[in-house]
Amino acid sequence: MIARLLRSEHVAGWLFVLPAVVLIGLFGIVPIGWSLLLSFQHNDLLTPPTWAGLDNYRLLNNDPVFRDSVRRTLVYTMLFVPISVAGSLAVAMLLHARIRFARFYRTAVFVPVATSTVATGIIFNWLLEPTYGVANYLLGEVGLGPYGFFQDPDQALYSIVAMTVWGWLGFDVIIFMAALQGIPNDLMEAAKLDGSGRWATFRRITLPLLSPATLFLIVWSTINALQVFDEIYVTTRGGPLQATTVLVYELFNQAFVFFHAGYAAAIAYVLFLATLVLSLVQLWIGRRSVYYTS
Amino acid sequence: MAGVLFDNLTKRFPGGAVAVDALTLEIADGELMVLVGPSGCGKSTALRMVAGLDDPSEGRILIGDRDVAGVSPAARDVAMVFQSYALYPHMTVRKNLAFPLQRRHLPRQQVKSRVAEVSEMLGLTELLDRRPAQLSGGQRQRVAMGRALSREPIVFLLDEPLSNLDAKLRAELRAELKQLHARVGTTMIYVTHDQVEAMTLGERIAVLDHGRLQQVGTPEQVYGRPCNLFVARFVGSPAMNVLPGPALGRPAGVVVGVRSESLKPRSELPGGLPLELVAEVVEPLGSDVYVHGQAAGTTVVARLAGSAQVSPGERLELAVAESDLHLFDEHSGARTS
Amino acid sequence: MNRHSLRLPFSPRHLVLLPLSLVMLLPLAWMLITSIETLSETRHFPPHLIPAGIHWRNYPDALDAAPFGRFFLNSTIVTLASVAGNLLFCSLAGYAFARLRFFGRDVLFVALLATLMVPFQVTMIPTFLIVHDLGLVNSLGALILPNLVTPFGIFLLRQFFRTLPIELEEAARIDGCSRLGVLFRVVLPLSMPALATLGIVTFLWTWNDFLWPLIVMSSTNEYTVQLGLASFQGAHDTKWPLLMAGNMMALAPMLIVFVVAQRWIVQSLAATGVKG
Repeated sequence: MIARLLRSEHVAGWLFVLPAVVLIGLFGIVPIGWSLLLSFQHNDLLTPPTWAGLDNYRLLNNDPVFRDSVRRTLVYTMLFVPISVAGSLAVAMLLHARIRFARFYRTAVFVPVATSTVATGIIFNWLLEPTYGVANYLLGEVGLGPYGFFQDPDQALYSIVAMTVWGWLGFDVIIFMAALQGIPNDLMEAAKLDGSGRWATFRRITLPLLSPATLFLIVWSTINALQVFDEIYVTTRGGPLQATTVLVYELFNQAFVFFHAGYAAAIAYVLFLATLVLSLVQLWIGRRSVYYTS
Repeated sequence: MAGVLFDNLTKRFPGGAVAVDALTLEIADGELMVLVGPSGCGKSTALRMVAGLDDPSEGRILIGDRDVAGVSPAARDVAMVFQSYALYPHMTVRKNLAFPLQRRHLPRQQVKSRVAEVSEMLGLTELLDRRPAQLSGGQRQRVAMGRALSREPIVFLLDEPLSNLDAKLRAELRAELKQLHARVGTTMIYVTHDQVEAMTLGERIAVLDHGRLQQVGTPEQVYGRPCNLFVARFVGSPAMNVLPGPALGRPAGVVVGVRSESLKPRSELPGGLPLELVAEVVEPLGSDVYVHGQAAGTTVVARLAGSAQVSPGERLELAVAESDLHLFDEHSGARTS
Repeated sequence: MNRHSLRLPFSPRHLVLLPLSLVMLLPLAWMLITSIETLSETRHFPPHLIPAGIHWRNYPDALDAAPFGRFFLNSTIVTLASVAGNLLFCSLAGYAFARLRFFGRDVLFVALLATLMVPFQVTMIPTFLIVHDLGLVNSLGALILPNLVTPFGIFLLRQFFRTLPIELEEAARIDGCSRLGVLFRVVLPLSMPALATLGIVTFLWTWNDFLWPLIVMSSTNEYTVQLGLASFQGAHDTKWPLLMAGNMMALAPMLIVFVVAQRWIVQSLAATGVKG
């Protein structure tokens, strides 16, 4: 009887998933709940925590530092997402052709994806160095600049946008190129015969057929943009004058520099909810305008 | 409406392959011409060049009396039905039919009425709000035709439109196509590898092999007087039997083609040339009996009356009339009589 | 509709693609050039676009200044362990979710998948506390253990397994194979593309991870490449040639892998997008 139970599919199934369940449970599910608990505590990671109720959240609501970090995050996101999605679509359309040097172009566009966020930050620190950096030199040759880039509070965030677009464009291009290759050539020829010019074909056939990929990239890029951290840590450290202190950077400071773990957890939950809501809104809008063809 | 002229048309692909070789063919205004041949014979390539999807390496194409070199596909006023139908998957049937009309910026009312007209003609009215994924193969085929029709082009091009369908549906749609052509009267160029389709559909058929035109004529002409061995064997099912000349009283160096239905029992054809067939496989089909066997050293198929009683291994005394012989040169394959 | 507009001898796409490619490659090229210059050269404005000579010393100097070898070793251990762990545990779990029927299967699957929705920033503080309680802070275990299996990998493999014909597995079971045996002898050999995708994506993600190592590691000896690089920058702030040399060394393996295995990597990244 026991032997039969042991050989049953139920036991087998649970044994198979056990490692995953234990690991994800311990490092995924438990922390999710614990984090919520933390957000209701005053906790400095060293001394025993005390109960805070909704204090952390109330503080968030009134904290101008927090609100500023949210504003900066939104500015960053609203620049990063359209630029990288639209830009990568344009690049993918250009690459989707049999031209000479296509492999070179593709490699050139993809290679920045291989650079880690840290390496990217270090490179751009040097590139955008106001006094000795080559960016100001080249811009000067065409009569622009010099710019402060990371060292100018008014330019720092935009410089981060440029840097991260550079680093991630290739990924989006890969996705779009795969989607473009999924469109049968027949359709393009039929459209030609139907009298559809280049722009009309793009607008009415290519774009709708790309819409699943486009939606994915918008949601994906938004989630990543809201969580940007690494590049900022390596370049501006949230400065100058907090100009690049985005939400996660503020979170990091609160948790591991000031040891306000409870407050940080509250910030994290706000981020979570905001990301969730934003993604759902995007997916809901997508439902009406995305054409799934299979 | 316009005729189409292929004038010494050649298409060479990079890498050296010659897909179409000096093709010269005239298609009359309003004619239903079928281009037929085995895979790779260049028929689809020729069709695509009429559409403007590929450019010729040499020679020209005239649609109407107009040399269409350098003219874009859209400006040629031709419509094409693709083998895969190429329906826009994200558009409803209605939008698929309307698309070419909208591209020509026709007024909305006209688009609406034309779509209604075409969908009625092809029995698509109930399907107008469905997407291609929700349609059967035959329905998709009709939508593809409808999209081509709605534009009222001067030439219709069809690239193996029925090959993705099952046999029964194919026969049905073949008949519908023929009726459609009779009704609409536009010049149609139809490409297929299936010689049965070619024979039943075409007003004239053009047989191609390796990019070269082998023969053009009515189905009767091509069947009754094939101009070379290739055509003789390609057209007609079962394929024409080919026997060495001496077996039927002809000199060496000449091969003789005999259609399976030309072989009759000697008793019925006392004046005919005799031929002995050793039966191997007998296929009774009710109306006919196909006997596969050996005669004059080669495999031969004879089509006998349905009442014939034949068993495997039997020696059949058959004969063929002189007038039913097709003589070809053994080396060149060209017809000698 | 056929006006003879400006006819270039080449496709106009090149007019955009070429400058774009140069812009994409410029930062990397500049890093390389700087890494072979002397410090005084870099403190010169306008910068020399072509270096005066090749000052290789920067590389051994960088190796002296920070234990890059150690960083590489740490990263390699952590990455290989993560990849191996993921391939193993995600296969087991993915197979169970795809083919086995057990109590609570669907609820469990949705629960695991739901954790994907939660950003890392939510879980990182408690995870730190858990790792601390396990005594793993500042050890490689802290980097490996939380990333041994991911719901993304489970999802990916489950979806793939479901596309395989089940008859093969049924035949194997009839032939006397255990369920585990079916997985390892029949299913996994047929799942190479999906396993490769998971392996490559896990590899890229683990190698480039920064925030978690930043939180949980405190001594230089245990730093991964990314962490080591960041602290290296902190220590040698304006010694640009040195920094760039260090950066080059840290990047080179990944760049080489990328250029060589480009097709594989592109396919893997594309697959993740298609699966959403």
